[in-house]
Amino acid sequence: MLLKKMKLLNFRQFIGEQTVEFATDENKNVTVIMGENGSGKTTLAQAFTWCLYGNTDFDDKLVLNRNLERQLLPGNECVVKVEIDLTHGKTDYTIIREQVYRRELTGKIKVEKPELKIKYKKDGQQEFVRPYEVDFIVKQILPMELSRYFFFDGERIGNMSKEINKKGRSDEFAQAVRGLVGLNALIKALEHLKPTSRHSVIGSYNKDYDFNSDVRITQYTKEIEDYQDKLEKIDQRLNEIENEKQIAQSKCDELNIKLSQLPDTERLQKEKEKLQAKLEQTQNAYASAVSSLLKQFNKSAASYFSQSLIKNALESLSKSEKLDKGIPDIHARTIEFLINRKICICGTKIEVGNEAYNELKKTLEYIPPQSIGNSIAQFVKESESRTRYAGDFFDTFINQYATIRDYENNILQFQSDIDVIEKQMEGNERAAGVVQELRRYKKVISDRQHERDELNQKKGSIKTSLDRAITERKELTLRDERNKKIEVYRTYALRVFEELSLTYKQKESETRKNLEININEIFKSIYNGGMSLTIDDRYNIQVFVKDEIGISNDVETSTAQSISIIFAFIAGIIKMARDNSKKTDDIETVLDTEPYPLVMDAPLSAFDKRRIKAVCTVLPNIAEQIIIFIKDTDGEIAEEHLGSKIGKRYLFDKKNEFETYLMPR
Amino acid sequence: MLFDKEYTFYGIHAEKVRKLTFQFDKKNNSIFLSNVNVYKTAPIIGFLYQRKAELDKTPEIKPTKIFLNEMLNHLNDLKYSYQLIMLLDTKNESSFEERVNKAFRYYGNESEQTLADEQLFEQYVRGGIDVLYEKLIENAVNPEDYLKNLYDFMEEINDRYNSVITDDSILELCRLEI
Amino acid sequence: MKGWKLVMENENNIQIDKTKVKRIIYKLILMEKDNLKTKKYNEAEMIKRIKKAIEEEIECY
Repeated sequence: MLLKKMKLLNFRQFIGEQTVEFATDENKNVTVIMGENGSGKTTLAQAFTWCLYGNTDFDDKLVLNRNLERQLLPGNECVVKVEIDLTHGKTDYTIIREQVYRRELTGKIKVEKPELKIKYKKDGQQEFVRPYEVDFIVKQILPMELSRYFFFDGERIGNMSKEINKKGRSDEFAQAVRGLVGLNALIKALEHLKPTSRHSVIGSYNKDYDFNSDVRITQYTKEIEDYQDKLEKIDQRLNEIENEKQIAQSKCDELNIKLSQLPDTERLQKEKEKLQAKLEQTQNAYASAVSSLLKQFNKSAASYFSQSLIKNALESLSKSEKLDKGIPDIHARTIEFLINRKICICGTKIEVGNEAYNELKKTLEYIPPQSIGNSIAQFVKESESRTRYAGDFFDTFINQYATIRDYENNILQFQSDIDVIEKQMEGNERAAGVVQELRRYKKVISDRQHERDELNQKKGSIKTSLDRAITERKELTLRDERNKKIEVYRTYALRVFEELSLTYKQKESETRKNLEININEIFKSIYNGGMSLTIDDRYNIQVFVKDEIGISNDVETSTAQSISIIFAFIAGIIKMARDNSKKTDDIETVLDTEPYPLVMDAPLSAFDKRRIKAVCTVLPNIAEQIIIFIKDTDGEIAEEHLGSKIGKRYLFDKKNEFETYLMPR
Repeated sequence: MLFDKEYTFYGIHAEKVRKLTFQFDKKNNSIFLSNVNVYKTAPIIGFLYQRKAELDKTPEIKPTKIFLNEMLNHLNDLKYSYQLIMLLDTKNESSFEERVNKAFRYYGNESEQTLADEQLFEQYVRGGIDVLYEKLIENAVNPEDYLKNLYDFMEEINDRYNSVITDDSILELCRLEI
Repeated sequence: MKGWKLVMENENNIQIDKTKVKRIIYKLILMEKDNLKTKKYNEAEMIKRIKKAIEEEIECY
């Protein structure tokens, strides 16, 4: 979507008719609007929202200019209008939101409902969209839920920054990824199909079975529904557990930070952190070791277990004389041929009954197609290779297992050392309370883990019972023709669900990884590798800042850090949306999205000077169109770094509290 | 048989195979990575422990399969297990010569006798699954239990069967005069 | 192999036509995308529509 022009009529402080033209040129796609805080940046952004969706975030819902409102005489009316020219898909639209304010004879202000009209131009003709279709068109152009990613005002940036700082996670990320790259459709589809839910497509087919007579079928149905409900509850609880664990974990992190700030415990806390790092490292090593052990087991087990059997088999084979001694590359046909021509290869005459003849006939037993000599030889070769292969396996296994036990012990050791330190810190009065709370949360985490393991076990056995019940019921009901049809539908629905699940998993993981890569690339261009992040499958964000030794004393504040993340995130999303629109694979095009402009309140002052240049260079290359609001003080900076890309410039000229003019510069 | 088609586990053994391939920890580790790994190992174990089991026909239990391409990938291993067992099962056939024939000459020839041998093989497979399940899975709750069970099992096998044989003796035997 | 249905698997003795499955998936995603934008149908209605789409696809030649 490309924004071309916005016309305001009496919208809040923008008195009279004022127009903003947006830069749309490929190379000069930046529009800079400059003004102090309070001069109208937020209002301008809200004008977009009001025009498209009919509402604003302002407490005061009156959008008519205050001066005009005061001057409005009884019996007169005043119009507020916001008109936006944009291009979406291949069509040019003009979106017009108009609201009439009338001063009644009683002196009261009557506010009509704001009216939405859309004009569109196709093939040179300009027409109005039918009234009942306008909302639909707006939803197609930019649904309200997605608009938040492209109209970024300063306050929202602040809020998101708090989220990232405090929780180390942003639901915005998760939602954005899913929504913008089209995964929401997949999620919805999966929800609607879900086999374990009673109210899904598959659940509905389960219910559709005709249970007119058999009481047993009804019983099974109740059983099945019970199991499904139990499974849903368990899944819910598992989700809760995950969240509770994360909350507890972030509390722990908070408390650890507190501890490190208390002067007396600083040393202990540092020690503890070292141990925790070692602990994590060991836990990872442990997990890898287990995986590798099992992988090796799967590769070598069969060969290893066969060792003694192989030995016996080979012994028997070698002892017996029955080992065929085949002659390579000689077939029965060869012998027949030689016998028929009556002369052997060496020249000896072959006659029926003579020695040569008898020898040749005996050979027939040992060569293909009669012989098994080759098969046996093959078998022996295999035996040799298996033995070699399995040779060290047992020793390797024992060693690997020992290593794993070592890791286990080290893990326990680290955990107990950490415990000891915490106890020591408890001795210190100020730290005591914090440490106690820390213990409490740690216990929460480990309790939840236990609960989760138990629940998973339960889940497994309920699933088995559920399958059993479904199969039993199916036996009973399939006798009915109609039920057979439903069974077919259900089977297809299940298959569709399975394929979609696979696709979703792949796509989500792929998309999240892409987002991570994109964001890190943007970081690279701004921070030269000094900052990077990872996003895990629960959308927890971990930021890595490389220590810069003695380069400058401008260390980013944590606000700046999270703003950098947000900025990179927005840029990353936009880039992905653009990349997506170029894909041609069929399921991809079903999920594609259109590139969107980026409208943001640029917190340039949160960045230090080194970064601003990088930020300004990166931005225009990523979004199709940029509309950026900046403060006066940042004006020079923006000119310096964005200069060549700026297509249009405006300035908020605030005359007084109620009148602001948008002036082109 | 010939191990060239899709294979299905039924009844209680299907359930045990599922448990043997169950992912027991956060990193999705399982003792056996897939059904075909169980199928490769089970007959050997069944024969070692001299355990056979009949086909369980409990209809309520969902079967579990090994798809064709996996069977084909492991065809050699499966064939090898079959031949090994045919060679060694004296209770099935006392004459060594006949056992050699069963392993090599009659392999896959679809005769009544061969089909009976294949059924025998399947019984060892199921018996092996029973053993593996008992030893590795039955009493395991935590991830650590699975690993410990596996370790104990490996030790048991080693002590009982492999500790006297060295690799060299086997490799020596392999160098037969052919 | 135009016109050949790709019958891939037996699920409980029911033959599944892979082409149909793909068509169902495609239709389903389109429906969901559309409804996400327009919010025209509620959950129960969507489920009905999905069922209908599946059944139609299966019954067609």
